[in-house]
Amino acid sequence: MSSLLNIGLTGLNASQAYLNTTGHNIANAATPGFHRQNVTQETRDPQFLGGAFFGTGTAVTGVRRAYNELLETQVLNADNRRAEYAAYNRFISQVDNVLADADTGLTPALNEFFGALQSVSSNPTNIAGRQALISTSETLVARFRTLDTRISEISDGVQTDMSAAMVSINGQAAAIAELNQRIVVSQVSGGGRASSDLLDQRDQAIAEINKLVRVSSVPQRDGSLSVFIGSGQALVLGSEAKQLSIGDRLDERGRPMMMVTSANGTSVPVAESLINGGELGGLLAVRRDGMEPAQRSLGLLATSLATAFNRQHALGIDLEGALGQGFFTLGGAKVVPPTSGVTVAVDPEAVASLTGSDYELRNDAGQYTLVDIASGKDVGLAVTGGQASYAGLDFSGLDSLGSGQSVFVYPTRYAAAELGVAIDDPRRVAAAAPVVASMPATNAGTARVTELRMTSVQGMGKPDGSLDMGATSLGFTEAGGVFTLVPGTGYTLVGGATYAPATDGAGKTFTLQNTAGFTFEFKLSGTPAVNATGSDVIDFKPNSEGVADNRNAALLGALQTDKLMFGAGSGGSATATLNNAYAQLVAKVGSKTREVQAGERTQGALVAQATAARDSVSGVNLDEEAANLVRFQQSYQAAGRVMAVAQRLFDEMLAIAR
Amino acid sequence: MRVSTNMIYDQGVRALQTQSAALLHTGQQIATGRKILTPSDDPVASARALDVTQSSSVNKQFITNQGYAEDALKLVEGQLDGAGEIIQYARERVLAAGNPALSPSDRRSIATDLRGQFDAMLAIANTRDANGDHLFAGYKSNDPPFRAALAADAVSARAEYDGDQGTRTMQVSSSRFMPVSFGGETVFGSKDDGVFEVLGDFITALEQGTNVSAAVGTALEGLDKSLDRVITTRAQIGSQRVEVEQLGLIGSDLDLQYASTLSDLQDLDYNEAISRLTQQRTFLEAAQQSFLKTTGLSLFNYLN
Repeated sequence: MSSLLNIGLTGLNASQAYLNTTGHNIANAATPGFHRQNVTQETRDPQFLGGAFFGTGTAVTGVRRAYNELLETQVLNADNRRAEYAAYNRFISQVDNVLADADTGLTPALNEFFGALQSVSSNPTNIAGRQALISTSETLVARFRTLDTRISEISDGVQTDMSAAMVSINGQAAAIAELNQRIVVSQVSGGGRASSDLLDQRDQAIAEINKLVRVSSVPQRDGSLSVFIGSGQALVLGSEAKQLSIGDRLDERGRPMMMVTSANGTSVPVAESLINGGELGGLLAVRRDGMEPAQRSLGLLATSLATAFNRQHALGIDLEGALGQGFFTLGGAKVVPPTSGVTVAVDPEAVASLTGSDYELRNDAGQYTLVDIASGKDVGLAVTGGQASYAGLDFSGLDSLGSGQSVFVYPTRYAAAELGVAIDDPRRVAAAAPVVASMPATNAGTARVTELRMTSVQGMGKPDGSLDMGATSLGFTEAGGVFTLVPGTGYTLVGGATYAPATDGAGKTFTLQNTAGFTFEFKLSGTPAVNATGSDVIDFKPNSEGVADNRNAALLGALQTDKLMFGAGSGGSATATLNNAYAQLVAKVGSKTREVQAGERTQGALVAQATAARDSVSGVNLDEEAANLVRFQQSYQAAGRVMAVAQRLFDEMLAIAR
Repeated sequence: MRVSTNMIYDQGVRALQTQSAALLHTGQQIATGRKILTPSDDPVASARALDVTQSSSVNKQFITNQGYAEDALKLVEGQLDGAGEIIQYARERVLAAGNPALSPSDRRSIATDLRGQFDAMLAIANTRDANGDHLFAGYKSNDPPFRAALAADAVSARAEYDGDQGTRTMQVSSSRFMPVSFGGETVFGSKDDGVFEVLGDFITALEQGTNVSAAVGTALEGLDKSLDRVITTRAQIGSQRVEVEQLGLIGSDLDLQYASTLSDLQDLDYNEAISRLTQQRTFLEAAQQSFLKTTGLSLFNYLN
């Protein structure tokens, strides 16, 4: 009887355990990271009595969580990538919006600016039209700055979110360290098996970190878990957690580096390349591959526009007859640190070769390397006498860079932010060309000069800007129907001086250069007359009071549709107009945004699938728990009945004895 | 497969969110009338739209310039008509002066008339446009190009040319810079055989009354040459005006084409969008119903 009572009691206890666990499952059905728990049970050791084994009831051996490591890993991997795409998308889609907006995009401002230039070209004496050109140029500059500022603000947002992500990582790391400690204790007291609920909590902390950055974890024999970021940078070791932060040191892109601080206070920088995946990986990637290229592209556009425009503007003269000044102001290439003695300047004649890349320039015992920071490759720099040229950039003062030292070169990164308009007086717009050609009425032949075009104004301006050029005449000699051009004193013909009307009659271009350096080309057509007493002449004079001359304005206007950018190879011809280059930037950011959004959707679906697979093992089903409640309530009642029977048998026995 | 209660809720919520997002996107498209809301919706079309926008803007500028060019050419044409009439009239007066029966006073009165024609011609040569620019001054448009002067004999009237040989142009198409001004010497001739010299010399001859018949011959020859120059320039302007008109037609054709290309790239097909909206609404409502029905089921409803 006592054994029946005991058997009933074990059943009652087991049912109680089941009911408790069911209740626990129901209570935690919505708890993040909770895995449903099961009671494990076995029969108790039998008793040998009277030649047979009799059962002695049941025993509860433990409570285990439904946990499948493979399914858990799948969820973690998918969620890590989803978080990475989500962070990337959150910021790149903002840039995407900014670039295309009709109110903030570059195309409308470019069109207005060049439209105003066309008006100046059509009516060069109209002061209002010239003023409109200056106003639209200010609008254009403001648009460049606004775009740059917006991208900077979005980058600041990235930085803020990085700090927030690090705070969360640090919090979760501390939680893991503490849970490690408690799990070690619970494993000892639990006979080698730790509490499912503590394990759930630690796994949930890992899942939270995993959303922020990709981590790997290694279980230790004592039950604790070591967590590593990237390729082996420890974040949690046993009960010690390290802290991530943004330090003061700058990396090669000029940004503050991430630091890992140990409990003893020592800090070491973490290379950006080690961190990937998760929110933090996505933020670093969008800053590296989204914001910075966009900002550099804008800077490249600003540099190309301003340099090409200034170059052509300098070849003209303004309403006062003075050579054109710079129209736009540019901040120029930046060298960090600025005290290195190295200077870098954009070559106005090679704007098309500019790439918009940032570089690290290094001197190793006279061996110079110029590394493109984005690709990490040495582009090869031929240095002579401390000077070198590469991709539209002129380097000088290289010999002041000590061996083992390096500088960072940012050629266009800050150009959009620092772009300005130099001219505020409408009379200073150089719409005219400095030289006019004329054919004296005394000429007997039909020779005509058209399309006169300055290629250099070197040595042509006096200190006050007015023209330092005298009139000169070009004569001819003839031999057998072929004419030789005879330049006036102080001038030489560059690249050919013969003219054969029979074959060149439609027009041949010649280049005339003054000893001071200034040079212009012109197209000669018709047939000059040469006789015994002399020849026809063509007079070239400084353009004086030529206020209605629009030749330089027309050439400036042509810059809208001229290909100025993205030269094919070193020194190759340009392949894109300014607007093409902007459209390319918009398409690039748009495509990237699209790709990231697709990635986020795909990974989101994968997370859903993996989570469903995991939850089908580990999740709580309330219907199932309800059924269990009924089931274990009944088994509890049955076990109670067994005990009641034992009680009654005992009463019967007492009654017999009475 | 074993199903957990969370899975039922998660899946339901996810379905609702997907459908809502699609509905919102279509709603935005309908509200803005654009099928591309951000470049990421169609990066290639967005980039192309920017290029087409610039082409369209450049084309519009050319159409504006064609208008400027047309105005400028019309103005020059009108002045040349005036110059042509003066030369014709002067020619008649020269012929009349050649009549041997005329008295010296008759000749002097013709000379006075011709002096008036000389001044009228000078006024035309120094015409200004609406900007205040002198039409026949080349690039030096600020100052009057022709200045009344005297010949070496200190008697005969002359006009000195102070302008230059510059030709103002306007860009009326991507490759055409159209001349819209003509240097004074092209229209009125240079110092040796210009219309002013012809008139000036003839007036002197009439006033002095010597060798009139020889002077008549010289003057007629000179005036014919002058008329030729005016007519040649006039013909050039006529053909340029035809060209501008044709360019204008091409320009407005292009404008239409660009507008239609931009519309194809960016604009929404409302029929398609509204039918899509209806479809998405149906899907969302179905998802809502299905969510309510599924989550409403629980064994606990039957336990008491």
